[in-house]
Amino acid sequence: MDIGDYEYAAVEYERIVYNNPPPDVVNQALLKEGLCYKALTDYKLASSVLSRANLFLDQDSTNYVIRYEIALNSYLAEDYPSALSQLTQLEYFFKNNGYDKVLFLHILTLNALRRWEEAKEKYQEYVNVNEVELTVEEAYGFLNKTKIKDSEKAESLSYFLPGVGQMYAGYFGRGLLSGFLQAVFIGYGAYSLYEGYFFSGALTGVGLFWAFYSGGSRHAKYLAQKKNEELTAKYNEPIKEALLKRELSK
Amino acid sequence: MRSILIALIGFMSHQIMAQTFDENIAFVNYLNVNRNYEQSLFLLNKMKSTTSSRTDSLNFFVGKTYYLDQQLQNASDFFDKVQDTSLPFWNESVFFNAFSKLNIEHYSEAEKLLKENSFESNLLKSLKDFELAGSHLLRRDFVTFDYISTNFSQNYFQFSQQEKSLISIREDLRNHKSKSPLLAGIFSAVVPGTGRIYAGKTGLGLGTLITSVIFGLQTWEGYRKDGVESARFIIFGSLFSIFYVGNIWGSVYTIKIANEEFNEAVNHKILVDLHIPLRTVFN
Repeated sequence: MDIGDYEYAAVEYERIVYNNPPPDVVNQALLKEGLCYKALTDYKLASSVLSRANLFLDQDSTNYVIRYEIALNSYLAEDYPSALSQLTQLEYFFKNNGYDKVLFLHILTLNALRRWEEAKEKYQEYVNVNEVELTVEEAYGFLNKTKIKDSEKAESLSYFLPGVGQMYAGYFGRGLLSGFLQAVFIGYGAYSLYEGYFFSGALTGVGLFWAFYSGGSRHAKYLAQKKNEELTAKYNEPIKEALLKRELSK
Repeated sequence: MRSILIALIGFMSHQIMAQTFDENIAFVNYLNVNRNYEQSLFLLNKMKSTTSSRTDSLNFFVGKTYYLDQQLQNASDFFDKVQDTSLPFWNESVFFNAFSKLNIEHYSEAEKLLKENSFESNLLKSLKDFELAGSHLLRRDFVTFDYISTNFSQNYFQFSQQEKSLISIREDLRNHKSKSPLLAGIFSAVVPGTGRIYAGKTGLGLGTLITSVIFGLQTWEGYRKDGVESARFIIFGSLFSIFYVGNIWGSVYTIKIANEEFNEAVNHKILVDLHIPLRTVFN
């Protein structure tokens, strides 16, 4: 086997599991197998392999590392709820015995889930024992003026007044265009009815208006969600950078 | 620490050779049971590079792993490489290979493979007839199916139910009348959308009918109020005409799709019936 042949190594670690050794050896093998998949950047598979470990054995150093690796790989695979679940357990079992080393990941995970109030408290804990470039106020100052949108509200607004939901979501031009088109269709419908073209007015004018009206409202909801993702990245990025800079300097 | 690491790497590099062939195969089976096919194929390929003999066995297990992973073209390719008829899993290889070929619609190859091989046990002789009959049913070769199915004894619990099922499918196919694309086109020409309802796509047909009515009414309105040369009549009339003609063509096409869907559903049922006995007999 060549050095760095992680795929082969993973198979051989699985063979150790297959040979049915004591539970602590199984856990060790699964840990190593998970690390192989992490090295191969298959974080989802790494997390899946690591999750097979028996974490109800002694809460020892191996257990700690496995939990940390599950949390890390889940985070990297963007499975934030699973990452948070492991981090919560790490906090419970290893509060005075290693939790401080995974605190940064806990903050990143809470940030990704937009649970910023909890993340802020954790960040305060982190800053208390680490020198970080970003103060708590600088990191979470956005909480006082957050621009996160309520996607349900965006949808409702567009039902109430076409185009306004898109404007609320931060897409003024799209809102204007949507509102204009719907005004044109309903205007055409009304004019046709007035002129005695009942079928054209009802079917084309009102029909197209209705299609754009309901579609526009759903689109407003989508735009609000899209904007929230952009804002989340914008808010979280400086915190992530500060934390990783500090962690990598250790 | 470094020396321990080097020792560990050295140990692992000899693992594959240190394990006996049977131990490795037992491990492959464990991986397959856990649906860990990637690792299984990886290990089998490693074994190929370190084992000069027993290539037939390795080809069989690679084929079986592909078969379990539902990569049936690859499965068949590797089963084809198994040549030694004295191997303990030769019979299994023949049947799984034939089944893989049926799945990828290589019916003639599957039948040739089954016919070329004779089996000692009555169970396998009957299973061979069953699979051959299934292949002819997949091809809608009813004459040969009827001839072979006279051998169905329903004596073997492993596939007695499936024998009954194939005969039942045969009866269904006998009674089934394929829908006519011509009739669907005529229906849609008379009343837009009805060709699609005839094809079994009621929702699509009603949608087409409503849309046609919407365009039709506006065309009539334009004609009634402004005459045949008015822009309103020309625009809505054109839209209606395009939609009307398109709908006739669409109805014909929908019938073809409906017939294909029916045949696919029947073939799927046949393949399931052909598959169940293999798992029962060879596991």
